[in-house]
Amino acid sequence: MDRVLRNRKAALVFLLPALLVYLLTVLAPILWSMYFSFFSWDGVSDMVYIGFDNYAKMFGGDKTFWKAFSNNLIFVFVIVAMQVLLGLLVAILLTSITKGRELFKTLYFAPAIITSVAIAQLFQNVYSFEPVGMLNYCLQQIGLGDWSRPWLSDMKWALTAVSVPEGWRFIGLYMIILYSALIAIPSDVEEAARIDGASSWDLFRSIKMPLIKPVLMVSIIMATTGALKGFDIPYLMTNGGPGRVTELLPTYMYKTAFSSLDFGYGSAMAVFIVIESLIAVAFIRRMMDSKET
Amino acid sequence: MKRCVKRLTVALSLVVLMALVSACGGGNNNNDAAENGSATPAKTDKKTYKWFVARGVESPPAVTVKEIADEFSKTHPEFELVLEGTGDRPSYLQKLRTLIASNEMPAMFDTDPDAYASKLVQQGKLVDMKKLLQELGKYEDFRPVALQYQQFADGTMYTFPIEYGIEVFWYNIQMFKDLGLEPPKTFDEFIKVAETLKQGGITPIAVDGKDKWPVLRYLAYKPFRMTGNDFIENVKQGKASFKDPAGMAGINFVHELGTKGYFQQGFTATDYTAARDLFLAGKAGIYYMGSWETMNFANDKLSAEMKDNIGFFRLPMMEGAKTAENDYFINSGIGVAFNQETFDDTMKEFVKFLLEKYPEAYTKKGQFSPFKYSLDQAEGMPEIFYNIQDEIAKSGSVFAVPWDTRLDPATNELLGNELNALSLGAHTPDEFAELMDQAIKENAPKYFK
Repeated sequence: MDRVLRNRKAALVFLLPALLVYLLTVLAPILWSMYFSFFSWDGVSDMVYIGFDNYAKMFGGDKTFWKAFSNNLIFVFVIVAMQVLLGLLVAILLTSITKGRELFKTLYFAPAIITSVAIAQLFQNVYSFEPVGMLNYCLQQIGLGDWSRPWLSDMKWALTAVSVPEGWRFIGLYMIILYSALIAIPSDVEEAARIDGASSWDLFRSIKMPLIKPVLMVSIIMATTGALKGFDIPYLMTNGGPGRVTELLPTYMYKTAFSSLDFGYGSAMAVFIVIESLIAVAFIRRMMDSKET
Repeated sequence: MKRCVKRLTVALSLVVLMALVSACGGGNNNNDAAENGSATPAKTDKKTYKWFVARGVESPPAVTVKEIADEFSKTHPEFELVLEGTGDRPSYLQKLRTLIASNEMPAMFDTDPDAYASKLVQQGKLVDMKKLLQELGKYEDFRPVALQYQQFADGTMYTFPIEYGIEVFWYNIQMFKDLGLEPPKTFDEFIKVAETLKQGGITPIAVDGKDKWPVLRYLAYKPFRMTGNDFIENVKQGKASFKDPAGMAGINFVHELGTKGYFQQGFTATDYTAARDLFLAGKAGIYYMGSWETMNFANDKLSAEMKDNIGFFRLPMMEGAKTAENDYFINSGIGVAFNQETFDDTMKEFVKFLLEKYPEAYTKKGQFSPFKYSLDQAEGMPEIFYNIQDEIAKSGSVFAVPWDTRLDPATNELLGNELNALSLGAHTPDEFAELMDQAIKENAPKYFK
């Protein structure tokens, strides 16, 4: 076995099936989308080649596209903040307790295994105004009745309201990842720092943070790309509405292709999402690297 | 030894590759068998026809058709009808259109006579239903309005109806009585009723904003009273403008209802059943919906305080109306279309069999059928059923067409979204009219030539 593993050709051969699957399921659709994006096609009539018109429309006059883009940025911000920051906070708290640690871990992780449809349904009821939902009921009970509102129908709040469930569901996942990184820090380093008189904050900032940085970076990349392709929960809860206030690029792309039957323009947006995700990842890596120096 | 290991690696990787390839191939074979049906040497050559249903496979029309299909299979063992579908209309349409775009059009599917269906007709993909019904001698068995509803604007017909319904405003009799209200006869009275209900601490109107079409109806009421269906038929092609008096009347009406809070709070996120339940729980005064809900309003389905407490009134009138009091939204539901490619003699036999059995089987389920067929009092249906049956008999011959079956898909998508924004006050009526005119200018030429 050892010898097989040391044989590089053999390793390559074993990697081949995975590569093939990857090419077929990821790269091929992207290339197809690029191809479609140069056409005007409704799925029934013949395809008409229109060059870069779809891209011109996208970058030129389509207000909804830019609205969806800026919504998407807010969506990403809320979600990364919730998932990574809250995940990190919970992970740190977990390392400081010993009793019931497993119980908390399991409880916080639970939302990650619930399906999107159930989560969407759950939060629709939480946010409901008529009949009164949990959130509005609580607000009324603690005397903040003025704050209660139909969250998903409110032009100002709907976007935040659909971002929170998506962020909430994966806090547990990032908690587990960051928790594993935190407990992997050798305890002698920590003890040495304590003997030198480091406070908890110093310890965290100068010892723990640098040591978990690679994991933190992976978490941020995962959370960001996850949020950039966010689709299911906003689509299920508000379907982009009211108006376009919760429209994200993926939901807008989907609707353009499959409801408005403009497969060409939808494909152009899909290409944009791919490029946007790649840029986001490159950007995060850059930021993380530059901090090191 | 080394060579042995090398061989082993190659052999193993070959196995993995083989498994992959055969898995893919296997998948294809299965599909072929399912499509041709003749690949397996069974006793009879069983052919499976798929009906892609837009109403949920548990809905009364789907269940009735399935029962009849099973009965038909007993005498025609080669025939089998498989139902697949969802009651969620937007996702149904998306799936259907994706299937068709990838050349997998089902043998039977549901569609409205909309702009998309007309493209399919242009491509010669659908069976001419008018011709077929006349050939089978069944054309005259239908209610005329039921068939008219299935027609394209030019009078051709490629779907046949399996439902029939009128649309009315249902109201809570007790609430109206308590506040001294009468069912409104005009739109001005309608607004007054809504205002009084609101003053009385009651949500005036329950509406399903999530599915978009119920709010879209409110936009269409006044234009229908003012012009019949002329406004929508013209505006969809850009021959009229939303800034015309009829368009603005409709827009202002929705804007007023929405911004004055006559719809329930948060209505844009309320779905179909939630809106209905709001009304049935006695929490809203008025609820607009088709007669297909009649059996849910019958006493045996209701809580004690709602028994004998549900009445209905017709679409209100207005000054200078071109349509009569008994003209309103009547529809025969989304129609059934047949794929020209898979339409063979067996299928034709089945359609004939279906049309013979359907009227009685369907009506006995407490539904209103598109055929000239009604139940008499002796059948023991609930009172509200007979009330609606009487109203259907009295209804006029001009009926309003739902706008979402007329507009092109892209404008439709936009209209549904922006209409909710309009009713929340995010657009002024003028802005909204401008937005819609723009959308039609851009999208309509692709569909209407």
